[in-house]
Amino acid sequence: MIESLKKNGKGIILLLISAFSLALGQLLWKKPLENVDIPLVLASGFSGIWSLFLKVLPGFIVYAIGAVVMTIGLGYGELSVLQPINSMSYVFALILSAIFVPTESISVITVIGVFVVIAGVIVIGGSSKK
Amino acid sequence: MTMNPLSVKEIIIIIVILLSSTCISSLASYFLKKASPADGGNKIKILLSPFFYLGGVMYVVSAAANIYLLQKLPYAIVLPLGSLTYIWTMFFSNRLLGEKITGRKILGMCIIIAGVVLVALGKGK
Repeated sequence: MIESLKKNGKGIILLLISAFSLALGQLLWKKPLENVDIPLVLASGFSGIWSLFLKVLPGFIVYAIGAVVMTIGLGYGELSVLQPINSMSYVFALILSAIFVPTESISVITVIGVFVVIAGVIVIGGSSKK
Repeated sequence: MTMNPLSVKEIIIIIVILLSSTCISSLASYFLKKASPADGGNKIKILLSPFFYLGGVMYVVSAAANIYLLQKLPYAIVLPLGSLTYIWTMFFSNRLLGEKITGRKILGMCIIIAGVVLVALGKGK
C-alpha cells in the first residue's frame, strides 16, 4: 500500500482535485439551467443564447481546469488505479449540494453509498504492484 | 417522471449506446493519459497535444450520449450503468498500457460500483 501511494500518490491527489472540479463544475452549470427552456432560448436569437452561454460559462471553465488537472494527474501512475478515482465526484457532489442546496434532502442510502465509494477508492488506490 | 415502455428496437439501441458511450469515456481517459508527460515532464505540452483535445471531444460525446440515455431511462438506472466505464478502463489499461489487473483492483472496482448503485438508489426515490 505504501509503495502504491509513493508511485501513484501525486496522481491520486491530482485526480481527487479533478473529481472535485467535476462536481463543482456540474453544480455551476446545471443550477442556472434548471428553469430554462433551452429550445426557447435557442430560438430567441443571439442575445438570449449569449446570456445562456454566460450562465454556463463558469461551470465549463471549472470543468476545463478539472480536465487539465486530470491529464497532469494521469501522468503520475497507472490508469487502472487513477481513472476509478473519478467516482469520488459523486462524493464531492453530495457534499457540495449539502452545502449549497440545503433544501435538497439526502437519503441515508445515498450517504451509505458515498462511504462505500470511498472504501472502493481506498482499496484501488493502495492496490498497485510493480 | 413518467416514461413510455420501450420497444425491443429501442432497448437494443439503448444497449448499443450504453456500451459505446462508456467505452468512449474510458478511451477518453486513455488519450488524456497519452497527452500527459510522465513524471517531471513539461506540463505545457499537454495543451499542445492532439490527444488532449481528442480525449476532451470524446468526453463531450459520451456526456451527450448520457443526456440521451437519461431521457429514455430513469437516473437510478443510468448512473450505475455508467460504471461500465471502470470495467472498460481495466480492459484498456491492460491491453493498451500493459498494466496488471490485480484481484485488489477488481475488488476495489466492484466496491465502487456497489457504492454508485447505492448512491443512485438513494437519489432515485
